Amino acid sequence: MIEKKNHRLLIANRGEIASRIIRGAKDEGWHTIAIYSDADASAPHVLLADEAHPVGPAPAHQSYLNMDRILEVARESEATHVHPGYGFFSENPDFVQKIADAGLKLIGPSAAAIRAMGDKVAARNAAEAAKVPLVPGSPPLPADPEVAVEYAKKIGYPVLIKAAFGGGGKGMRLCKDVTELRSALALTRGEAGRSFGNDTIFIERALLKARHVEIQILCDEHGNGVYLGERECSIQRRHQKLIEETPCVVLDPATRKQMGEAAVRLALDIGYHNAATVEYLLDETGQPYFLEMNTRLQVEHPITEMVTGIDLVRAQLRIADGEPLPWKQDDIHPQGAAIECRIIAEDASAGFVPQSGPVHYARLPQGPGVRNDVGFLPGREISVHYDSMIGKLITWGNDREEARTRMLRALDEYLVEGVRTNVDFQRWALAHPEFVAGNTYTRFIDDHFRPEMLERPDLEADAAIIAAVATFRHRMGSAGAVASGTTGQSNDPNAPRVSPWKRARTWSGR
Amino acid sequence: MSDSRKYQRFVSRVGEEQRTFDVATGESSSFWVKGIEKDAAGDPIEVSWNPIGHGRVLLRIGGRVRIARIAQSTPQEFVVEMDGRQIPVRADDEITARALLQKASTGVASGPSKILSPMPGTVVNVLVDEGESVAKGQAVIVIEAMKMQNEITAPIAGTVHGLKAAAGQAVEARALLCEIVP
Repeated sequence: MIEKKNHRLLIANRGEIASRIIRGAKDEGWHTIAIYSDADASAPHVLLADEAHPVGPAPAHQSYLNMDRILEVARESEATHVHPGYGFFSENPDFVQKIADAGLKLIGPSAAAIRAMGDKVAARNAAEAAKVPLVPGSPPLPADPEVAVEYAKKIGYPVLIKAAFGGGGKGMRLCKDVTELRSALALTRGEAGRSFGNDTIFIERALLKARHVEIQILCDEHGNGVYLGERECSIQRRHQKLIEETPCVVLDPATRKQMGEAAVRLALDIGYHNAATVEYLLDETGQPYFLEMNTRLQVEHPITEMVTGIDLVRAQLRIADGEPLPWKQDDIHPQGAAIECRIIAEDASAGFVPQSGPVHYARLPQGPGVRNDVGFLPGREISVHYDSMIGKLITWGNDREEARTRMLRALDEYLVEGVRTNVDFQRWALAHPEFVAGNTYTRFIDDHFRPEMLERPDLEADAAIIAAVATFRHRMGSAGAVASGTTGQSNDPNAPRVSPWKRARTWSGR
Repeated sequence: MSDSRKYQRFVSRVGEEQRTFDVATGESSSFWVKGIEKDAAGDPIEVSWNPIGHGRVLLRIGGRVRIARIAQSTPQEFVVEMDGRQIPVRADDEITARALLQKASTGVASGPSKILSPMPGTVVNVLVDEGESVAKGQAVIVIEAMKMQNEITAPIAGTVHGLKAAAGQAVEARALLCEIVP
């Protein structure tokens, strides 16, 4: 590796993706600069970076979305490049413009390209021009709900209301009939205005039995582009992806090629460079329809890395450094299968309600074929201020079944104490006969999942026994807290000696 | 086989479910536990109890290995966390349990239903007025948390009382938003 310490990368993000980017940058020999809010002063990404700077109070709009402060840190720390990650400023053309104006290089596309694709209406037009197949939809809708009702009649129910500037599954609502459409229009418009700063909405035909299949592409600054295969992300709740896998079980080579080539064509048409994802829906007949183009690194990028062996963050850095792509399309040959489970602090049995609080202890899966991208540490708080996705668990296998059984094994190892996570839900999904059979589609959870499926009578039965014994112990005068007593180390004179220094460095640090 | 151990009887309660056990001291850090319900009756099982630090206990329950984090709020009340689940449970001796049961059965059958915020977040919309009558399942308040809007619905039909939530207000998890009086 050639050290490139004059390449100073500011990572304008937090959580697992900030750590992921820092690791990629360090592998490239770049100097890394983290930013953090008051709530994140000892967060994992801060500990990994070469240097770290505070950007404000815990709420994101005062810290990670504080554009002026982040630009000030970039200047003071003499950053040369900025990586926005996903979320926050990753698809904000104003931020990208200011980065350019400050003489810094963004690890990503131009402001114009983000603008073109960030507006879903303009994106549909660009896709049409690049001959990417489109699902029937409406232009931007006026405030009068009757206009939406008229379009919906033409398009056919069910329809999706979409925020033109939405993303990541936010700002979308499914309407089965005209009553639902009428009641959801204002709610979606309000959410769009607050979340995306623009309340333009439109409607599209909803494909209910569709699979979500997306194409990862890389384009350099010299007009070259490749596609790195697909990711199927059909297991979603509230339009947010929970499980992603590659390859998609039903995609034939001809359709893959058609989708991949259309994706690259669309990107090159709009002068795109860096990593992007073109999302499609695949209907029951296997016909793909353009959904949107994401002009950033995706959450689920690791599964593509697992099967292609290409480090997407490092590829992004090299593209931004002006290097031409080292691969032609014929060089891309994905191997095996990979699955990602998003680990989210939420209670799936209670309507996927987000959870927060201190993590007392965590045991993360390890072993062959397992990759863990995490954004939390035991002893630290999972904050209500940020995304409830706290990590990503990724497994690789020679085929889908090997990756799947390995994922089940890894999920069994995944233990987070103090805050409820969706690990139990993920275990349910991975073991579901329809998932095993590859019958995945975007309404999989709505159709198959019931909260009571996560009930654990075995744990409740054991908890009852434990409480009876604990009360008995208390009565018998086992002094102090229930979990006190010998640990097999302190009182046994024959126990191997452990230095107090080493003992102080236990996982939780408590 | 006769069992000469000295047992004490306890009644554990998890949610609505009640289970009765006889517990006796065993070898060093273990105990003998006998379920005494009709279908769970049988030979006592051995429960070994090994604290492993940080409030965690390694248990073997009849051979099954469990790691539990046990938080005790009163001498009888615990939250047992296993496999990522927090299970509130209380265990009383037989006499106390019977007294508690008696008290519960003479209590009021149907009182007002509290609507609590299921998560920390911001109230973005209050869809009802004080004194308004609502149907079961009707949306009452919209709370935005982690960029998602969540409709909070009335658990029972009734009248809105003590409306505390206002649009724009930040709320903690389990904060009282209002009550529905049947």
